[in-house]
Amino acid sequence: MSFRRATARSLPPRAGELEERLVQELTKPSQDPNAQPIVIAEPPGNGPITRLFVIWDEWAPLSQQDRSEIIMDAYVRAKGQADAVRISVAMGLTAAEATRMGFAP
Amino acid sequence: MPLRSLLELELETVNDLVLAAEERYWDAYELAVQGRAFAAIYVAGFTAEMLLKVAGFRFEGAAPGDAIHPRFGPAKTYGSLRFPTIGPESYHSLRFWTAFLEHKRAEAGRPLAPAILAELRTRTDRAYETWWISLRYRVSGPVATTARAEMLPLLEDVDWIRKNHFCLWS
Repeated sequence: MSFRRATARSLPPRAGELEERLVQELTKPSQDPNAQPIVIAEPPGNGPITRLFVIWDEWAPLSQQDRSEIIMDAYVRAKGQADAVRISVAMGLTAAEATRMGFAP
Repeated sequence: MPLRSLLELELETVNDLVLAAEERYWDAYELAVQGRAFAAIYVAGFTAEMLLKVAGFRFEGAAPGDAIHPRFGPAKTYGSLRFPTIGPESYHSLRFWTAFLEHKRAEAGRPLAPAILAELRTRTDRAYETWWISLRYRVSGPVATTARAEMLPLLEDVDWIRKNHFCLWS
């Protein structure tokens, strides 16, 4: 049993671990195209990335807001502030959610 | 099915916020007419918050049917880098969303017209002094006189945001 003072709302306990794994994927992408997390960056082509979709079943217990914040925290670490301020959408999806949204498996 | 289960089936979209903002405004108006100043203020603030959020998201390209939650992480990161002294207050701060819109527009080379920007700043600064999200935990009795005095100015400020909403993001 432990006693501690409540703090302001913070990210869930596993956020740090998920962020770390996402940083690794962003800096050194897996060679297996089906290995999660799968990061899809838009728009297509060579222009600046403005939207990020991260397909990962480990998102399941997390809220959309937490997923979005974890993605951005990882992106700032992996790509830097200049690239991060260009992002307007950071969406975390489980595989089932991604399929419903039309992302091909 | 309970209300929460019904509503949580779908993610909130930009358009949901626009429609909800309008509903909350008229809810607040009804409360004001009934003399429930504190409750009117509490509800009216949400209209301002939602419309300012939507203005920023629409300006950066969100479509009416787009989900809003995936935009919160980037907005928080953007704010922490571009205007770090203004906290998002769990994404409810009127100042945060005004600064978000202002910085996004300026960075894109499409700032608001000076007169509109000045009016927006004046009104959101004033609204911020009346409304913040934690108002829900406060009791109205001890501040009833102040609430009565600030209710109409707040409703006017929120109404200005409603009526000028299109030009904030277009």
